[in-house]
Amino acid sequence: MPSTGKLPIFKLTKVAGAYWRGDNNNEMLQRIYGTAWANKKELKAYLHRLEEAEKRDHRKLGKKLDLFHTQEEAPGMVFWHPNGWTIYQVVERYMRERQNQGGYQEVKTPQIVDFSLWEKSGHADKFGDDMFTLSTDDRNFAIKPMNCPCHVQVFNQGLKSYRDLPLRLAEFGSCHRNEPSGTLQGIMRVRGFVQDDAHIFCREDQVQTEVTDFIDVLSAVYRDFGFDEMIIRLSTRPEQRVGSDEVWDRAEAALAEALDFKALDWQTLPGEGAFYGPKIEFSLKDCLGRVWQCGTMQVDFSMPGRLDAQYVAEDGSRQAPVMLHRAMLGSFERFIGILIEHYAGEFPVWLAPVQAMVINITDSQAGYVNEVTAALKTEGIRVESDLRNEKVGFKIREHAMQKIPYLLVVGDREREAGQVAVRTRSGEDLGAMTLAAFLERLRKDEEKKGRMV
Amino acid sequence: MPVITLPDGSQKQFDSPVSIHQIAESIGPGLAKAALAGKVGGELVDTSYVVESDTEISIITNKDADGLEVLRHSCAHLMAQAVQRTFPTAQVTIGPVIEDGFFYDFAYDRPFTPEDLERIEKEMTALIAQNQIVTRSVMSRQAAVTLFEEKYR
Repeated sequence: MPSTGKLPIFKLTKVAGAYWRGDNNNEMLQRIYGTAWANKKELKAYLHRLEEAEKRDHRKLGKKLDLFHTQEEAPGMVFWHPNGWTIYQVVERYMRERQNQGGYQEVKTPQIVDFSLWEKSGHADKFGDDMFTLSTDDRNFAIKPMNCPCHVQVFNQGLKSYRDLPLRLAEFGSCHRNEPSGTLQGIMRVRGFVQDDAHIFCREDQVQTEVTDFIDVLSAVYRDFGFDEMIIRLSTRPEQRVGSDEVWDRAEAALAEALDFKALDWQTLPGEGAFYGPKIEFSLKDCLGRVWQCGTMQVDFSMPGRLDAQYVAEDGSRQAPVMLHRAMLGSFERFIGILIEHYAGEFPVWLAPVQAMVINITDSQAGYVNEVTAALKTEGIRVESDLRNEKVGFKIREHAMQKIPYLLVVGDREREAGQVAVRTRSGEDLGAMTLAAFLERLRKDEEKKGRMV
Repeated sequence: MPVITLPDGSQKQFDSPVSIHQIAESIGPGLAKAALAGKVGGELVDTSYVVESDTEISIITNKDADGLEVLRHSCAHLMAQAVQRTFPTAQVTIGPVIEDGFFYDFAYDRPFTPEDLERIEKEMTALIAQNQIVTRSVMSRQAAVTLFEEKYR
């Protein structure tokens, strides 16, 4: 090193405990983190990003907005609270609709499956250490870490013909993986999670169309969640692989052509594909510029054969289908974590756990508040009321802090006119309007989802 | 006598083996001051590295991505030095460069507090002000262990 006089602008940022060589049998060491930059401006920009990220930390907001919690008795598993579970259900309902429109059929497969299936599928070999296992009645089971082998079992029921393909099986599949405890983080890195998983069984010549269709839906989904930028990477054949070079050539070309057909920008990650086939990874960029890999489209030549999946081809021969593993969100847990941080808890109306809060000024409007609340509930609006004997300013502030999009204040004047005075969480006063007018506004918000424009 | 080829294709001939620092100096005093490291055949080397034969080299400053990594690396060492001066019983272990910065693990009998961090930062600034020269010397592992009396090596 040269003289320390040329050292950069730095700041020590935090402390943490760490084990010597990462082994928890070793002595605990004291870790100090620092950041260093070439000049003050860069350091300032970085500290600002850090501060923003901290304010948006999903664990902090999860507590503040009463969305979920985790606790020591269930490491890496999420206890969803009513508010958080409401968001989850909205996201699930939305994904289900998208999938149905895209020609997917939803299935549900078992949580606990005999270990022999995981041996046959190859997961025991590649994934064994990460699987939760249990033994009972002299049999060994594993809690599923992935859904794919189970979907092949569904495919295998009954003889399939080429006319049945592509067959698209989707499952909001609950999976468990025994990740090291040091890597767990809030709901972003967990042991128990639900994937928006689907497997498309198709012929090789159908791969490209399936991929382009997937990309169409995926970019619409990301835009609906407020993410306009997508980063795409194609991972090609690794050294260790199954299948002939000709098959790999065709699969890689099909993926590349699908991306080019959609006129998308993409990069290649040579050698980063799975041993069973090439894959495309889709990442989104949040408002702090952080990149999150969420979507995936993987071509698999191996598993259908391993698990005896077959169809009768046009010439009467038996063929193994190609299997496409695909997900858009990745896991609901992580994706909702990303949403929390992206929106800093200020969810767009369609996702907000409580969309409107009806607030009275004095007791004399209590009956009217209940009427308004009931009317909105009938319309399917997620609405609550606050009849506490507190100052109206206090109540407005409190619910605005909870990031509830609309605060409907009613005094005697509003009651007599059959109206509500509408305020937003950002403090904007939209004035008094009829319930019908408010509903129309809210419906427009819902329709827009998280889209920027 | 080494002929040095710079990234822009220009060449410089020297009469005897020459350090990265001297090469930078021969280009200009400003560059010599800004030089953090050199890159020889794709490998990062420090500025005291001596080039003996014809080589392609580049001078790394904090304007290079590599330069930032070098800065962070030396910053980690600077912190380790400051910690040892401030908390003499603390033992250094490892301190790699990570995204946006660095960390260093110490064996110490209690966690460091925010106040400790302030003291360490002050000590780091003081060390920079003293313009401490960090020199490189090659020694056996055992000699290094003895010199620094550290058990985590």
